[in-house]
Formats: sequence, structure tokens, C-alpha cells
Amino acid sequence: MTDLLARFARDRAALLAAGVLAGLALAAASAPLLWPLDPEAVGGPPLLRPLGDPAHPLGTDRLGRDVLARLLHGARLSLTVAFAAAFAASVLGSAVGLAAGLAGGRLDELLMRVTDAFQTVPGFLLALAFVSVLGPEARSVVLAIAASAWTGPARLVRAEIASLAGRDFVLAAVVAGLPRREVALRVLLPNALPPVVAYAATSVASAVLIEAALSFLGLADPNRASWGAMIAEGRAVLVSEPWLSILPGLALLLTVLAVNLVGEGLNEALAPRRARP
Amino acid sequence: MRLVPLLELRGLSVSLPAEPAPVRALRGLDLELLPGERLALVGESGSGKSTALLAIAGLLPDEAEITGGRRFPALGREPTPGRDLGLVLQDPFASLDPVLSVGEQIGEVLVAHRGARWAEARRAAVVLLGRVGIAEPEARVDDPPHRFSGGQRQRIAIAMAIAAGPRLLLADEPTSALDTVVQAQILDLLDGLVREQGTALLLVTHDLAVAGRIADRIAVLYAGRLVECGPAALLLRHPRHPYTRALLAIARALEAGTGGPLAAIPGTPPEPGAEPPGCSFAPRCPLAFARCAEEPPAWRGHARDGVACHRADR
Amino acid sequence: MSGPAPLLEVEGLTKRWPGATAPAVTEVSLAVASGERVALVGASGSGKTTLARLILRLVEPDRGSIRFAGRDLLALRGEALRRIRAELQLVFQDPLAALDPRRRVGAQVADPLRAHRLVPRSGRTAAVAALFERVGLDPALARRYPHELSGGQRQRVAIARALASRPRLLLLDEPVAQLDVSVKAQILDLLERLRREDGLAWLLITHDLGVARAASDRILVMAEGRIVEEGPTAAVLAAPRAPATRALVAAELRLPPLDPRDLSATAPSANPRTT
Repeated sequence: MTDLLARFARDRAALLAAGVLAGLALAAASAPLLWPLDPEAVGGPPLLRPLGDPAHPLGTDRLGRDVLARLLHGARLSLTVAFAAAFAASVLGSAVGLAAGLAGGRLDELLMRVTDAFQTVPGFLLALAFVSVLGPEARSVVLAIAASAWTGPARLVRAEIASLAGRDFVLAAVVAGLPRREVALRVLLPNALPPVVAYAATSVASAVLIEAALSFLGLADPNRASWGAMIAEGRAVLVSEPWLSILPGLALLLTVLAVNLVGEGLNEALAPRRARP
Repeated sequence: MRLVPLLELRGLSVSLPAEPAPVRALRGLDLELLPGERLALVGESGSGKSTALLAIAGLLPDEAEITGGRRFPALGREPTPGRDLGLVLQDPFASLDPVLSVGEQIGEVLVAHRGARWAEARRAAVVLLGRVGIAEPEARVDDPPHRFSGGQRQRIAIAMAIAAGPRLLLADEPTSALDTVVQAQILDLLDGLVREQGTALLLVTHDLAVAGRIADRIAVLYAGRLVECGPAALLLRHPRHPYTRALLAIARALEAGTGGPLAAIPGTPPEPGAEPPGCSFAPRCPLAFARCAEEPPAWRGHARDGVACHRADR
Repeated sequence: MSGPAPLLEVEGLTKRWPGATAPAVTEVSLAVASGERVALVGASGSGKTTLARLILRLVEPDRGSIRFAGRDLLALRGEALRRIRAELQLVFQDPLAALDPRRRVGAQVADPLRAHRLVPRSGRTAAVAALFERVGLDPALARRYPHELSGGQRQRVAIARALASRPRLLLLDEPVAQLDVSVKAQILDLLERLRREDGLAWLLITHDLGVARAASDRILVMAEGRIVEEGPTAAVLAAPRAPATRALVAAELRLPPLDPRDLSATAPSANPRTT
């Protein structure tokens, strides 16, 4: 583990990005303590400029709600939804991939055809459909995003298992007398997971964007502050008060960039080590 | 009148990038190779033999630190890999491009280094395939590498290496990945080809019997340093350095098969960077005495024939 | 030969890989007695590795029978098959490929101990340490990962794992092919010592006749999936009859013979130089 962290730390960009992400997560988690204003409350005059009034450092929106508070609470929503969705997708996808890879034959065929079906529908449209049916709460958004994101990990795990199955060290585990279940969970799965972990980073990034898009379109929970919704609301005054859309946009950019860099760093750090010649 | 050497190494030292700190793979190698001469560089893992070969070929990574001299006096200029130098590596399954046909790969060498046109290059490739012992070369010249066995791929790699008529052929353990029957065939092939073309050969191997089969001279490396060098037949019958003697004892024991322990050398070679002061072999040497641990032995003899051991009395 | 039944008895084993033109193994019959050292030699592609995998039930044969310690090995399934693996072990050719890159080597050596419940959890670390010492490794190395060890150390780890369950028969597939000469010698000496201590029998697969000579009393020669010659190792290699055996012996590279008169010249000098 420390070995892994050391390798990760060598990638400066990834380290910086991880720092940014950690800072963001911390800020989001402690939002009410950090900046106790209610994001939904009409606390001040509308359309206050940023850096004008110390009570509202980033200004206020069209309804007079504090922008900083809305950004922080939006971060909370984005990050929670994104990580939850990516986690759910990874777990579900890995389980499906493991089952397909180990079973082979008809079960494998069946599972892969189901995966194909889910993959042919564009992720965003599938999420749209789910949200329309399930409603706009954060929980449904998580499910909606996971519903299309699980196919990536499923294919990755299945492919890894298929290529690992014939390898000497797997046979060695069988020869050592390990029961099949242990071979699958102790030997195959840990070797099959690293690409999934690296892929999870892209899942998180795209989940952030899908959530933002859903809330931009007004399909997410209207009672919760969300970056997408903030961008949508800022459209009406884009020329005169561009910061209302730009600030959440920048937040999105920063988050997605950080997630991608961390993902790359993880990929590098997790790559199996090459031995000395 | 002395012949002008084809290759001259003076005090060649190489440090390779590694974590946490660079390691010294080669420490002051002096070597000489005459045109048409066959030299075997013998050593085990960590001896620096492959590093030496890569340094000669100019294939070390950019981050490697190289000090000391590497010259090609008989060439009069820096050698061009492919034209002046041919290279054959250990793994026959990794050395050929899986996407191109074997004819294209051999032909590439001729087009790049002999200015041939593709049509003549292809004809020449067919001829070369025949020379290295591939049956029905005309039929097989357009086959991709995966249709050939390991031994055949190595033959193809040799064809690529000699295609442009290089003055020096470098081979890094070319038969280690092959079984004994194929190994004998490949060594016969190499032997014949270099004799025919008067090509010099530098062959890296850990197997003294391979060295004895094909080399005029043998140079033994241990922990990045040269410990003994001399004419092959003489060295294999009168080894002067205790390490060479120990290796030969094992090889002969395996050949004779008289049972009993194989006279294995106790211990392991030092980690690069952690070599003991004095002679690097001293901790494992049955003849070591006080001086061996304090003072690295000086080279006794001359560039082409000598030994580095406090016990040797030549 | 009268006496107890052989430890391993293989009869008429045949296997053709799907899609292959010729069978990998055809009508192979052999026997290994308790405590016997048998070598299986042949060029690559002769079917040696397939035969090893068949005997270990990693692959199913098309025809034939395998009896181990008097039991029909092919009839065993599931749990019974898993349990008999404690007595029949394999050392793979490439120690780096045979070890899980993501687990520490100590944990992997402990696998058979865990799988066959040979040692309670509390005693496992000590048992692993004892196994490491048996194969000449510092027990502290148990915390390392495979890529952090040298080739020789990795093969010792593989041997430790293979011996953990005190098997009666050990299959070794080219156990020293990837190793340097001096390490080869160390590992062969180690294997012999362990074999004597445990009363092991082994079937050692190799293409290297020197290894066969050093590590076997009886030899089987395989070519194109069949056994073409067998007999006492020294005798067969000194006077080979089958063409395949002749080819192997002829291909062996020999060092120039030592003249008895040369021996005195190579003796170390009695008085080291004192400059």
C-alpha cells in the first residue's frame, strides 16, 4: 500500500490534482461549517457582483441567493453523486464481469448480450430516461448514471479474467490446492481490478458531467443547489453578469480535470511492476 | 604489422537509471576485437555483459551515464546500426514485428542501408532466407512471423542482422530461449555465416559451452568488471580466475553426470552498487586471502589475454 | 520388477488440443516408484509440458488412465481432487510467471498450508519461516513481492510452496532452465538435499541433458508426443538408440576435454604474490 502511494506520489501532476480534489471534498463536506449561509435563502440583494460585499464574496444570483454557498453545496451534490455512481457502477460491473469471465459458455454469452444492450444506448439518454421515470432526487440520479456506466467495468473485468485464467500463477494456485472460490477472489479478482480502478476515475469524471447536464436541463432536484442548474440560471443574464455561469463552469472544469489527472496517476501506480532482468 | 582493431573499449563504465539511485552496471571495461574475430562475453545475470553489448551498439537509454572510450578504428567513423553493426537478441518472439511479413522486415534493412529498391530487396530476402536455412523461402517470404517457430524466427532475425553485410555482428544470448537441438543448429548457422563473410562476432552468453563452440576468445565478466580473458581453447582448459574455474567445474560436473553435489559456488553475486571493496568475487572465493578484500586486483597480462586476480601468477 | 505398486502409473494417455493437426501426447505410459528420480527429456514441442499438465489434472486427457498412490486420479472430482493435490505438486518453469505479482511471496507459500488446513492460523508465520529456511532463504524475504527477488530466489520460493504440503511426488517442469549456471547448480543441489530429507519421488522435465544426468536415475525420452526410449539415465545417454535421443545427445555442446596433465597446471599456486 505504501509502495502504491509512493509510486503515485512520483507523478507531480497527479499529486497536485489529488490535493485539489481532497481540498474540494473537504470543503464540500464541511460546507455548512465553512460558510454557514443557506444556499436556498434569499440573503441579499440580487445580482451582487463578486468581491463587492464581504458578506457575499462571490456575489449573489438572480434571486439574491449567495453564490459561494451555492457553489459549495453544489460541490457536495456533484461529488457525492459522482463517487456513488462510479462506485455502484464499478461494483455491479465487476460482479457481472467476474461471473461472465469465470462461467464462460452460455452464461457468459447471456451477460455479454445484456451488456451490449446497455452499451448501445448513449449514457446520457439512458440517464435521462431513468430520471424521468424515477424522479429527480439525488438517489435516482446515482442509479441513472450507474445504469449505463457499469458496462465499462464489466467488459474490463471479463477481459482481464479471460486473459488471466490460463496464466501460470493461476494454475499454481489451483495446484496449491486452493478451492475455486478462493482462486477467483484471492488471485483472479485482485489482478483483474486495477484497470477497473483506473477506469473508475473516468467514470467519476463523466458522472460529474452527466449530473451537471441533467441539472442544467432542469431534470434534477430543483431544491438543491447544483452547478448545472447554476449555469442554466445564469444564461438569462450571461451578457451582463457572466460570472453567474462562469464560476460554476470553472468549478466543473477544475473538478473533472483533477479527477482525470488522479485517474492517470492511479493507472501508472497500479501497473504491475516489471522485474529485474 | 598489427591489425587495426574493429572495436576498442577503454575503461568503459555505464550507470543505468534506476530507483532509488542509478546503478553502475559496468565498471571500467577494456576490450579489443579484431576484424573477423569471434569473442564471447561470458557472465551471469548482473555481470554487465548485456549492458556492454548495448553500449557497443549505441542502444543504451539516453539517461544512461557512459564514461570511457568506445572506438571503431578500422571503420574510421561511428558505426551505423543495421549497416556496420548487426544485432540479434535473445527473445525470438519479441524481436520481429508481428505485423510485417518476414520478407518486408529483411527487405527494410536492404532498402534503408543498401539503397535497394523493393523488388530487388524482396529477391535478396528470399536468398537470405534460404541461406539461414528456412525451407521453401520463395513460398514463405510473405508469411508473417507468427507462422514460424522460435528457432525459425531466430534464423530470420539473423538474416535481418547480416542482410546489409555488417562488419560486426552482436548477439545477446541468441540461443538461451531455444532447446538444445535448435541451439546447436543456430550456432552452426552463425558459425558458418560469420566465417563466410569474415564478420566479427561479439556473442554474449552465460553458457561456457556455447562460448567454447563458437568463439576464438572468451572474456569473463563478474559484477561489472572483466576478470579473465584469453583464447577460448586455452581458457576452457586452463582457467586462471577462481570464478572461471568454478563455472567450468559446474559445467563439467553436469556433463559428466557422476552424481553428488555440483560444486555450486556459495553465496550470490553482489548487488550493483553494493560491491565489496577489493575484489568483488572475494566473499565467494575459495582462494581469497586478506589482500583480496582490501585491494581490487590489477589486470595481469595484456588487452587480449590476461586475468585480474591476486592469486594468478602469469 | 516386484515390490510395492508404483507411486505414479500412467497408461495410454492421449491428448489432442482442439484444432491441432497432430495429438500433443499419444499413448504415453510410464511409472514412477516411490523415492525414484525420473527425467523426461525431449525437444520443445515433444509434448513434455502437456504430459505434466495432464498428470496434474490441469487438462483432461482424451484417453488413458492415471493412477496415483493406488487411486484412479481421473475419477476424482471437486473436493477429493483438490485434497489429493497436497501429495502431488508441480514446480513451474518460469518462477516469475508462477507467482502472483500482487501478493507477497510468504502468503503464496502459505497457500497449501491454508488450503489443506495443515497448520492453524496462529502457527502459519512460523511454518512459512521454517519453509523459507529449508530452501535457503532468509525468512525476512517473505514480506517481499515476486518482482523484488532474483530468479534464483523466486525458484526457491516456488520450491518452498511446492514442498509445503509434504508431497510424495514432485513434477518439475524445466526448473532451472531460466537460471544462470551457478544458480542452476545451487538449486539442483538444494532439490537433491530436500528430496533425500523427504523421501520424495520426482518427474523432472527438461531439454538439458546435463540436468537430466545430475538429477535422475531413470530417463524417458519423448518425441512428437510419444515415449521413444527409456532406461537408466547414464546408460541411455551414453549409448542412445532412438533417433530422437541420438539427436539430443549429438546436439549437446561439450567443453574441450581436460587432459589429466592439464590438471596440475590449473592448481592454484601455493605462494601468492606478495608485491
